[in-house]
Amino acid sequence: MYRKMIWLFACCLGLALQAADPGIEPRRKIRQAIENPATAQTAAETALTDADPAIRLYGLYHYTRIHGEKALPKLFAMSMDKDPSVINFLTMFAASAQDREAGQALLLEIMNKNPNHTLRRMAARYASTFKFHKVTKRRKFDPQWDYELRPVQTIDLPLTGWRFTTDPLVNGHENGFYEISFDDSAWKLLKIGGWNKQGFPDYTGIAWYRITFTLPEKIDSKAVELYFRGVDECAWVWLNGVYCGQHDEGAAGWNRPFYLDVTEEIKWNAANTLVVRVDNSTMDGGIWKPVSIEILK
Amino acid sequence: MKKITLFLSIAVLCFCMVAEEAAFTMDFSYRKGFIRLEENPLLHININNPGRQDVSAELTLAYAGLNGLNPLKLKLTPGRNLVKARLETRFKPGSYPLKAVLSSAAGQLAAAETTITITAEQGDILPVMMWGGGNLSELKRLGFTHYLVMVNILLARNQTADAITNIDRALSENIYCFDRFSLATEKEFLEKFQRRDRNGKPYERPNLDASNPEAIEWTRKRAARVGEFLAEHPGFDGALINSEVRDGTQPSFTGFEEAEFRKATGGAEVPSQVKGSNGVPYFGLPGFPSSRIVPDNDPLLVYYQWFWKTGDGWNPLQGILSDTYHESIKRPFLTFFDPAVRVPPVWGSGGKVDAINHWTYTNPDPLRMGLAADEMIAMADGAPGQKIMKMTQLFWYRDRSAPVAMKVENPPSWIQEEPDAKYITISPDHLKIAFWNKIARRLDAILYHGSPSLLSKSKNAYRYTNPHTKEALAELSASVIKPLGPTLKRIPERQADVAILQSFTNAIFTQNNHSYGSAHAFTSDLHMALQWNHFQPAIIYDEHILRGDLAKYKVLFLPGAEVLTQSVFEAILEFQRGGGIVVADEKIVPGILPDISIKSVRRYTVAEPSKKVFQKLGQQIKQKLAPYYQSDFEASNQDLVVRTRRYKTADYLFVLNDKRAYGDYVGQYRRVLENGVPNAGTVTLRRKAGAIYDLVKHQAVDFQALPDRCEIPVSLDAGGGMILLVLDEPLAKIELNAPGTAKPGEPFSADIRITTADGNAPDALIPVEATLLNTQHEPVAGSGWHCAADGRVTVSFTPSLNDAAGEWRLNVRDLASGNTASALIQVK
Repeated sequence: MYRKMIWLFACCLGLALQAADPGIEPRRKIRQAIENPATAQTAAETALTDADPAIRLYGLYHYTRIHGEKALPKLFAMSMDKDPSVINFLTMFAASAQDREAGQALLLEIMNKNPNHTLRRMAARYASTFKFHKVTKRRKFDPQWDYELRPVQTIDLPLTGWRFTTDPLVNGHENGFYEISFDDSAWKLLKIGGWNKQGFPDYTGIAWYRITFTLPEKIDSKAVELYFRGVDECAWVWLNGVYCGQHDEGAAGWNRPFYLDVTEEIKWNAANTLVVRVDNSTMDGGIWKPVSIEILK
Repeated sequence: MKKITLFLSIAVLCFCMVAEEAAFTMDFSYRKGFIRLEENPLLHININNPGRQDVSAELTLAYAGLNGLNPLKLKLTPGRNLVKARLETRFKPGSYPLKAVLSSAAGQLAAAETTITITAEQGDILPVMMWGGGNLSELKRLGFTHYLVMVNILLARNQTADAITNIDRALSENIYCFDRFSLATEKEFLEKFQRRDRNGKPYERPNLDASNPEAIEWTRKRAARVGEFLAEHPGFDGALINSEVRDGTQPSFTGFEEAEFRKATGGAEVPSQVKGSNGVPYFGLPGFPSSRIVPDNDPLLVYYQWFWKTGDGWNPLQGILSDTYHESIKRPFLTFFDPAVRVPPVWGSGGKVDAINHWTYTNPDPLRMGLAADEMIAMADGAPGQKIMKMTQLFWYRDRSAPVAMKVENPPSWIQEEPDAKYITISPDHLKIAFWNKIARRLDAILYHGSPSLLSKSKNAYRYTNPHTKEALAELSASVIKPLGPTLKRIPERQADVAILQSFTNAIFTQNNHSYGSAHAFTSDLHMALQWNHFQPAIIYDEHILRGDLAKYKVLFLPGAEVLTQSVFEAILEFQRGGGIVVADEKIVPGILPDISIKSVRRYTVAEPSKKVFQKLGQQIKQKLAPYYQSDFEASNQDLVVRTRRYKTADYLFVLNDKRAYGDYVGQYRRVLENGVPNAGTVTLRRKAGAIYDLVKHQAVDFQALPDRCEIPVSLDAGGGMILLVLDEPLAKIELNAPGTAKPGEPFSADIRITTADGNAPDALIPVEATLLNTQHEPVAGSGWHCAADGRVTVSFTPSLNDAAGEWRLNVRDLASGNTASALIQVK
């Protein structure tokens, strides 16, 4: 774990040093050059390789505006850009291309070549058929909910008995891994803790966990949450076949607890099936701290 | 013998019945509380004429030394007669026994007694309203002028007498009442008129189908009943309409909203992607442009703009209810709605109500109060003339201040008595800092909520855990609100030259980048970062930009501006072409190249590092902007927060001290820096000044006068603040022109003039105190505070009929310089 912390610190320092701000005048000049029809094309192309990521993004926007999808081949050279905003625009542009083959090729280039796992995953989000995403809000922090919600009861999920499989082809969602009815009997049994020591040393990529648990009769409450104390690194969660939300902060999220509201999805006095898709980019991975159900009132 | 006894008994009974039937009766219904000098002081008297013929009679009233003057001549029809007797109110404030005698040519018919109260006229005030109840005399001591009585509920239960009694009782303490009209939460109402989703199911959070004509008419009738019943009681002068209803609003598929949408759009259907009220995240929307610039007529955008402006029915309904009240109540009456900015940033919140209000919690940083006030100003820009009120919550949630589950060494002393308190009293310094932060803006009223946490021990969720907080409010009331209120509510806002965009388009397509009036998201922390670094940012909406407002600004901040419309995008590009400076974070749309880039910062749970990280961010922004833009003011440290307003050539500097530390009230939990710390430094205003006055201390202040600026040394207590008036010329004197004589019961006026050293009237709004002392040297009704516009104000008094004649004295004081003047008036 300490190695991971040092690695993360080094990444953040690198990003911070990279983001040098050239000030107003250089940016004004570039804007004027790009807005001038006589110099727009050249200026946009030059901007693609500027040290300033904001200028690269701006150049990229105008380059694609000028050239349309014909820009795609040129943009391969940007697939290794380190700036999230640049990659975000690149992936959106590639994903919306009418020429699906060309767009997909660029997305794959980013997925395979970009040195930053978070940015590779950004492209994967657009490239793959995995589109699960939800804007999550905890009811107690909902800015449009002005009442105190406090936990009144905690139900711990088991530490053992979690069904587990890796998903190197990134198609588990296409095969219904999150459905209630999916037969996971062939999956391995793991306990809560990193998967390195449980038969999957240094596995990086996507993996899935499933567990079924029974809840008692309905407890008087205003909200129910799933509380994950630690998933290394990112997680996408379904309860009873319904997508509840994600914890997607990249590698930095490996040690950050998170909550997901499951008030609507929970089934009282019944069996509940929890499915967690995990993505890990380096070192150990998995649901490494306990999970519980929090009842709030 | 038995038969005779029986006969006699029956005869006596019949006689008694006849005798009873023959008696006139009188009772007093409606109000017994009156306001001195009020326009229509009518005492309602019900007189029962038991006979079968009309009776001519005379009604005399004896009270306050008046004894049967101007008897009312009446013609009483058989049965109940309502007589409205006009009272004399030109008396000293107080309670007066009143006797009403009804007589005819045949002699006295009936008599009845009661007690009326006459309250001093309110004068020119900045209202301080308690959004709730509480002990009236304590509220009065703390400076409250209004409190809440659930009038519409009492009337619905036919408890009309209770409603009147409540209002009368409050008025006797010089406190006025406002109603909380809240039909929207009544169970039976909700069950009949609930919003339903596409599957016909009610939403988990019940909310009224406010476009349903039957629901509208039902609520309108209820409001009409309140208005009609209380039209004649001036102690009832406001109504809060349907508070908090928009939090639970959702698209309703009962048929009404869909029909309205078709009408509004020429036939369009509600887009299929619409599932909730807060928009649709753009990720996953097929065909969403990679530029993240959407056309102005994007179907989802069109729908949500319609929904939040009028479509869900709430804004129009609030307007209908406001109109309904005003139809019956022709005297000054204020309708308002809250929380007005807990909605996406688009004009129209509250509909046509007279005022909008919003509440804010002071933790973790009380400067959130100023942020929310600026959001209110932005919202009210869409309804010219609409008033703005600002409310402070008097409590903190436990889990954001002293979490129950968190064990600490040296827990606070209040934990022993209130270990499970859900809501605890805010610290006194937070109350003070939030107060200084909000009155730096031009407000029409200030409000507070959570009275049990302020006033005294209670058994409900709001617990009283800090007895010092109310004394802090009492002090501010006496030293700032009362004397300076008439002036504070008039000083105009100064046009800002820095703005922060809160975009509706962005809110709808990202769902997470907007403050929702709850200091949510980075945009809110950025506003505070700028406050700490001596910027004065305005909040603007897409609508401000579309009407051309960018021309007023030099710097535009775009935090989290991930999605914009084509028109707003082009207006921002045009702004940059014209030399405007754009500061944006990493989420900015790719088609805008910010002049200065910043990185959005996440708030920590722990208070002190959070404050530091945002103060540092603001400092970095200031350093980057320094070669291109400077604020009109400056202070020598970040915890001296400054804001200015302007009237003609006079500047008003509001300076507050936000230096804070952890204390032992909640500081052990590290969630809130609850204690203020004294702070001293220098405030600089970039203008030439001839004189500067401290309006709270009523005296001139020393400063260094330089050709292009003035530097003012300041020293503030914990949670302290000051209001400085900056003028071209010093104030020289105050002159009073009052009549030499006056008569009891007759009004007289006195002119007050303040002049500068060169004999001219100052271009300024100056607070003035005017006190009329009677022969006992007591201040009389009408004494109070005023605002001398351009140094001039006329004050009027009406000596009471029952006050002693003789030599009275009128004292006036200029509350800027402290200059005084006085005049003797013979009252005879």
